[in-house]
Amino acid sequence: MPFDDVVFPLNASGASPNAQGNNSDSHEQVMGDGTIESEVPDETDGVSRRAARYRGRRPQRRATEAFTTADPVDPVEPRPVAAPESDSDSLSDTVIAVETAGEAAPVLDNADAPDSAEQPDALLGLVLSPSGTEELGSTPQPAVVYATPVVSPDALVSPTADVFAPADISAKEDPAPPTRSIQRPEHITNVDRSRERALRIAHNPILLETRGLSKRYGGVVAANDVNLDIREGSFYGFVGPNGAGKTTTLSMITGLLKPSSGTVSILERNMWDDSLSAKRLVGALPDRLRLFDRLTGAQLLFYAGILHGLDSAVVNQRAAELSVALGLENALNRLVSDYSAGMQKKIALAAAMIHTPRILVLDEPFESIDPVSAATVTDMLETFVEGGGSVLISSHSIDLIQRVCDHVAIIVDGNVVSSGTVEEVRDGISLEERFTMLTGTEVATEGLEWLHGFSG
Amino acid sequence: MVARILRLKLRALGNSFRVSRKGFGAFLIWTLLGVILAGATVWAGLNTDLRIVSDFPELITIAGSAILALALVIPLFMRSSNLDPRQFTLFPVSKTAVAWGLGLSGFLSIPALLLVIGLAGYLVFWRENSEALLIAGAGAVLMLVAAVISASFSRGLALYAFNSSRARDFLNVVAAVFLISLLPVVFVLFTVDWSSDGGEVLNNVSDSLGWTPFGAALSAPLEFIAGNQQDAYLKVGIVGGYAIVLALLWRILVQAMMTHISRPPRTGIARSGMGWFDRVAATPAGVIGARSLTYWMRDPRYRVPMAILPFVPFAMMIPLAVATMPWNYVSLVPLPVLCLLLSWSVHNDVALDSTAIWLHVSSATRGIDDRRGRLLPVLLLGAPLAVVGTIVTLLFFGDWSALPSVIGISCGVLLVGSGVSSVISVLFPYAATRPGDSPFVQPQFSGSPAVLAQLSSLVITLALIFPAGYFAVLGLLQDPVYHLWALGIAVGTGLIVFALGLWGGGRLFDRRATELLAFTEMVD
Repeated sequence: MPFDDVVFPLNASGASPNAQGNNSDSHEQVMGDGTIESEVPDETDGVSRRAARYRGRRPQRRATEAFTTADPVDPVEPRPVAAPESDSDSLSDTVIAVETAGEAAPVLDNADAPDSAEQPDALLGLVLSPSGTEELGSTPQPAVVYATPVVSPDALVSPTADVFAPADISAKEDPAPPTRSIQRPEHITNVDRSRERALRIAHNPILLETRGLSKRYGGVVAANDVNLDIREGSFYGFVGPNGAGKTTTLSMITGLLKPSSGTVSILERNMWDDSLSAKRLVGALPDRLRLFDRLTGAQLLFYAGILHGLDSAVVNQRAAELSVALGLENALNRLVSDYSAGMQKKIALAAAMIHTPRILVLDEPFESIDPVSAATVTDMLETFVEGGGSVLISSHSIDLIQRVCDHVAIIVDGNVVSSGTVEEVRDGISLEERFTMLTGTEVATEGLEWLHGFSG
Repeated sequence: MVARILRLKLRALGNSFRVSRKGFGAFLIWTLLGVILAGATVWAGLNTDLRIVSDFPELITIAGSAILALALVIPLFMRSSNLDPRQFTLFPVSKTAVAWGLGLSGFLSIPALLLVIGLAGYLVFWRENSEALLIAGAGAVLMLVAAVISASFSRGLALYAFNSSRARDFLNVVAAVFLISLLPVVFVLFTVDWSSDGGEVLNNVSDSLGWTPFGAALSAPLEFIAGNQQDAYLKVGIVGGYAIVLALLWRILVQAMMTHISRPPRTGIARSGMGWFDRVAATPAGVIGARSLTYWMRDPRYRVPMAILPFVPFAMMIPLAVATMPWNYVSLVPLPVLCLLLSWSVHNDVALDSTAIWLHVSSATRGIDDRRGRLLPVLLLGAPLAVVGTIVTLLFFGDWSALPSVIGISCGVLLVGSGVSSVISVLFPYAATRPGDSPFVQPQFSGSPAVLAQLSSLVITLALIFPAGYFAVLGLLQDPVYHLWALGIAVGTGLIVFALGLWGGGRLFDRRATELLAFTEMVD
């Protein structure tokens, strides 16, 4: 379904504006956008109230900006993505058309839009597709308008309410050209951003490439011929059942485990021939390996930074900013061994990020992290990929992968059985259903009839 | 309530004979050993040919003292928490009743029952003299009471006061140091000429022990038959007083245990600043050195061996002195041994880091930086040790012409040992105590060749320093000019081995980094 030229009426009384929304996505949208449930739509003032609420979240994000981009920019301001051959005039083609309850929408020129938090109307619409790319020639493209509706209370209480889900734009149907700039209003959910990202990065250069990566322990094959291509700016999910070879594969990618055969290269640098420069580009968070936990948090961060070849002044500044971003600033002078499991995960995450890697390889980063911190970390990682970095995470939480990742690979018994954008992999059904299909775990419930037969 | 506790204890006693119980084998061996000892006492008492009382009265006093002393010390290290007074806190029962119940239940234990048998055998010695038998009986009963209560008391004290893992480690260190300091006593015992002055030694020892609460009980009847009736009654009084004091202490301890909760281990002690990290260069080798220093000071797995280390060479001096080596030569021994042990202490450094070593692997830390950093604490401690130790050694030795040898050998041992350790720790890592475990805990995994690594690093170091040592000995015995030779050879060998060790260890680390990580994952 082409979304080109479609202008969705925004309607405060809550009639569902779009029938194409996928129910599971709409649910996620509500959940992902934490503030939506408390929202009281108000034709005149609701938007600015919402804007005020989002403004309250911003200082937290600002701290994460500093290390992902060379120059700290306000996240809401348009800022160039590290995409090749950026075209500077593209912004002027961007037009938002928003229609609110019978009244003609203000038409905004995106380039003129100031901080959207200050300009309530700007929150109502987001234009992501500027004109003219090399691939599609110079024909001006119609603007794609992603409008997020103001959800009415009715829509919230009714579980069947169709909420507009921009996530349904799939790459196949709309091969949108890579964009030059993005604007990231806060009320767009993770899902929206990840789907949109999948389209945007489709032509980015490949950052990490594995070819025929295999690991055999005697007769046991832990990973078999794993071929992954991770593009710049990609948020890549890696899922599989327990013991499928996720950790083995990620260990080989980060250079912690020598593969039996196959190669890993990051920006053309081979992990095993040129391991110093390859490892400098990787930030690793292994699962279930210890930290030097007799050090304090501050010492551990300093240690990791210096080992990665940073200057001590840089390390100190970044350590301070990272600890604020991750909420660890009060724990820095305590021993890491006294941290809770979640805090240890966070300090390890900070240690993985401190040297500004190009790709973060995170094995189960959200295990034992509380939901608020998980949201902060997700936020940081999204900011990181927007800045052109890539993230490869493994997780047991399919829901999380579907929500935040643009690409996903499913590994079963050491073999990658499916990979691609999330839309390609799930192919019409939810990712969880696809995952269950591919891993064949449904079969396992046979033979447990006695468990269900307690009626008598 | 008292009867209930006693029934509980009786059942526990019965259950300790269940074959399927964990630790039954060890229990059986110790019990059999005790039975044999107790039986031997009875046999000795019944066997009229053995005139123990008339010929070796001292042995009785010494054995009795040993039993009471062990009853006080051993329970400190047995931390079984069965029938702990704290278990009765929630029941409506007075603390006195708990103290009585648990105190009496102590009689229903294997050691107490064996002691009863042994004391019965001891009483047989006195069957011919009814008055002495009476005093012996009173002493034996009081001794039994004292032994049982002191065992309860020490066990409770261990559970109450030495509860935290840090306090337990402290206790273990004290015990280790104590055992090492017992070595001289053992050597003295071995060197006494028992045929001529053995009796006199025993006499002196038992005379002094007889007036302590430990030895008084069993020496009272000896005093009686020797004609010192007053002393005999006094000694019985001493044991009785000891038992009463113990009983009072036990009552107070029960009260304390039931009304106080132990403070949770203090976590989250804030430490300001970066510690050693502020004092080193901000380079990989520098921070690895700072991290090693921090670990040496904070991690009990480094700290405890370091606390014991200084006592080892002094214990080694004893046999040499006993072997009639002149004291001033013996004084040359501790310094090189300390240097050797210090440099040897890093021979399994990588395994001690456990899987945390991944950070070095994933940051592509150069092996030589890793090796250099880890040797920083050794050199930082070793350099002042060599200098100060040389001065102290020569003060004792008395001949300052040996200065080049002493400082040369100690520096050489330090450098050679460091070089060898830095290769061995990469080449033959073996399962080490895991981070966070007590240093007295054995590693879970023991399939790797610990002995090979330990011995090979020591033997190689000694072999490499041997030429220098040979010249040092020549300098001591023949011509002081060889001392200079010793200095040159020791320092030369040391520097070469140190450099080669760093370089080789670094190369090996670079090549084997992932294998080392896989090894630590396996043994973790």
